[in-house]
Amino acid sequence: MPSAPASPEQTALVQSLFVQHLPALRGFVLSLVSDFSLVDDIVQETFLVITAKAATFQRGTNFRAWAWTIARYKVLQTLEKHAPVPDRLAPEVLDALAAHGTAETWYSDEQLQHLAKCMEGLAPKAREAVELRYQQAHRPPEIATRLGWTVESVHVALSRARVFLRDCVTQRMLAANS
Amino acid sequence: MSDERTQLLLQRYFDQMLTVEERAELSTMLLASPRAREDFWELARWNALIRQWGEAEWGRRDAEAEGLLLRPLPAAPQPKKEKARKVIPFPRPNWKIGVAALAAAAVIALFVAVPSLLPWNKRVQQMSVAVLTHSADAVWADSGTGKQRGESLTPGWLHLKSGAVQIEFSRGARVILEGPAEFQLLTDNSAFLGSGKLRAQVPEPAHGFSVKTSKFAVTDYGTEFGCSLPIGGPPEVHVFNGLVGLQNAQSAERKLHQNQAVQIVHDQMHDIPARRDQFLSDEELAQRERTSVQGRLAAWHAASQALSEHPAALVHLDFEGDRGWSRTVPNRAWRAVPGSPANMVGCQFAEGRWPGKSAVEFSRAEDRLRLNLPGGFESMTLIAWVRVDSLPDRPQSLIMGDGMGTGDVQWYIGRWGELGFGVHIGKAGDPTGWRYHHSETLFTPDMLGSWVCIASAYDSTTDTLTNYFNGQPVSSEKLGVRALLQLETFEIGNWALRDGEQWRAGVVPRSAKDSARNLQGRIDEVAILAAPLSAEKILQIYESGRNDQAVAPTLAKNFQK
Repeated sequence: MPSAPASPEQTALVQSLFVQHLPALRGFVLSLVSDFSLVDDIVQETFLVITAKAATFQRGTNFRAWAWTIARYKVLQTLEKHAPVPDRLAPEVLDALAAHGTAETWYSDEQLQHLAKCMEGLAPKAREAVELRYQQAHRPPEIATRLGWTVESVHVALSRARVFLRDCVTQRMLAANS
Repeated sequence: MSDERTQLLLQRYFDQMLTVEERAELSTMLLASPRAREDFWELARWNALIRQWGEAEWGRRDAEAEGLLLRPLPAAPQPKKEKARKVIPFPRPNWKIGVAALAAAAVIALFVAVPSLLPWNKRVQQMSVAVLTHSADAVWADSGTGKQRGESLTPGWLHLKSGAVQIEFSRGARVILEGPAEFQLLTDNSAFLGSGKLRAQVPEPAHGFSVKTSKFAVTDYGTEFGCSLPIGGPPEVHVFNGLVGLQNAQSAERKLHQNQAVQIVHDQMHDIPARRDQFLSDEELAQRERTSVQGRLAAWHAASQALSEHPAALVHLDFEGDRGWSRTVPNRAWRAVPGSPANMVGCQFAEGRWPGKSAVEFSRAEDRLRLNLPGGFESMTLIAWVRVDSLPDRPQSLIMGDGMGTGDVQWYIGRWGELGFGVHIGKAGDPTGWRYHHSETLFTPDMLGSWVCIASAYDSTTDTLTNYFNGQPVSSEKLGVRALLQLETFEIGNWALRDGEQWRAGVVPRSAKDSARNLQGRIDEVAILAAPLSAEKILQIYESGRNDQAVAPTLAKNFQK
């Protein structure tokens, strides 16, 4: 049943909350679909639903819980439609993950700055694999084709790079704060 | 269950590497163990952080490639208020009606205010403020920033060494700029003249159009004026019709009426006779353009005929000749299969590189040319003159074989604007048997509407594929091909792929919308040869067919063979 139209002020409130929570929402969606190419569509569709249902949001209640419920529903719909079976977590698993709760802050500008520095510490080929995956959103089989590696080597390189980057950023944060 | 096993499966999940069995195993872990769910979100957070870095880095490189930062000349005023505006190209325009207008407006308002939060900021692009509508023998000071007829112009400098161009501002003002000139587009209704000469025609909706210089500023309240700022000479303003306001550092605004003109010497205005003949008119520009085009067409015709007669030419479509109602395009290649033209489906004829040169336009999902080319070939060169009008978030087909047999060839523009060549080197029918080679990104939003020459040449003697962009080699790789290359039944500008058949595309697509589909643009010449054309020959084809000063990719300079 369509919702009653919201006042312009209510719509503006909901949309500004959306923008405020956008980095976390993107992180949430990205984690549940793992396919970068699906994330933007889901975030956009979540935005549309939130805008359409702006009238039902009550000021002072938990926007995050409301928006996350809508996003989770959109994730389920999209996975059902687009994701290959092995990439798709079952609805009950997604529910368990969503219920577990996620951090309030997904990442900070400070972390991003440290991460950019830490990237320089990666071996050139590992960095190339990270760029193909995280900048250009290629999947490991295509990265393997481009780099002339096996798919497993790409996966190993990406896994090691993630561990290296996590340790590096953590150390730099600790050093900066001490 | 061990922590190590959980970590391993989670790493595989985030790389989209899980098998069905592994997914089941991971699901069991996630349902049963709060610790596993904790680990999931911990890794998810790092994955999202790196992706956030990747998107920001991609956007930054894109912005650099698109020259978002203006390069101001000394003494040039910076545009007031109209800072480098960014628009967000929405990858999904088909939003639900009713919500779309409100949502789009709100999104634009919100995200322009907070651009760092853009979720889809991969292709941030500066808004164009004008179009280059005519060009007569234009020579640009820096070939890398040269502009073609039909090209959109964003705020920034134009360094015109010689020749003349017409620029149509988005608000309607038309300017004829004569080289040598330094001209900076500021907004859709204002510009800065560093030096040189211009004539402006300003229709009603563009009233208020202004030209600023280091000596004076002209605001148009009427219809037509000219101004010149010669290097070493006194600047002049001439009004041919209507009314303009003229202001310099020493005086309040002075109104100049029809047939009035002033020369400014030592900041003092001196009346002089208005001289229309000192400024190039529309008719004179058109005449110069016609002469220029005739010369280029003649040179291209000769080169085109030589390409048709090349001993290895299998397909050569130039889209020339009297077409009438025909929906076929003759194959002029020397080795063409007799009576086997290209069949047009959906697409329409349109203007090509020059006025009077025909092209086919691909705009709708059904638009395509279908051809047949029997046989297998040890080597192959694909070459085309293409005008890309849009860079959707998916690959665009150039030449795509229908089949998935060993040796089948695919040629396309990749999702990120790279030139892609695929050949099937596996067993016939195996969707994972494709071997792809991609150049770096070649097509960027600032090239939309420009004609470029692209080519890919596979040389069986070295098993090497080389990609070319505007006559320059841009990437090269050994492909491991052990079969003859073939196209059989194939399409130009599209791919005979139905919904649900994405699996046929092998490893390239990541989702249904990601398969190579219809080209959004025009092609005005395409050739397929059963030989690897040399770099010199490809450069020669480019030089004889180039439209003004075509876009020169910086990548070509960096390419190491």
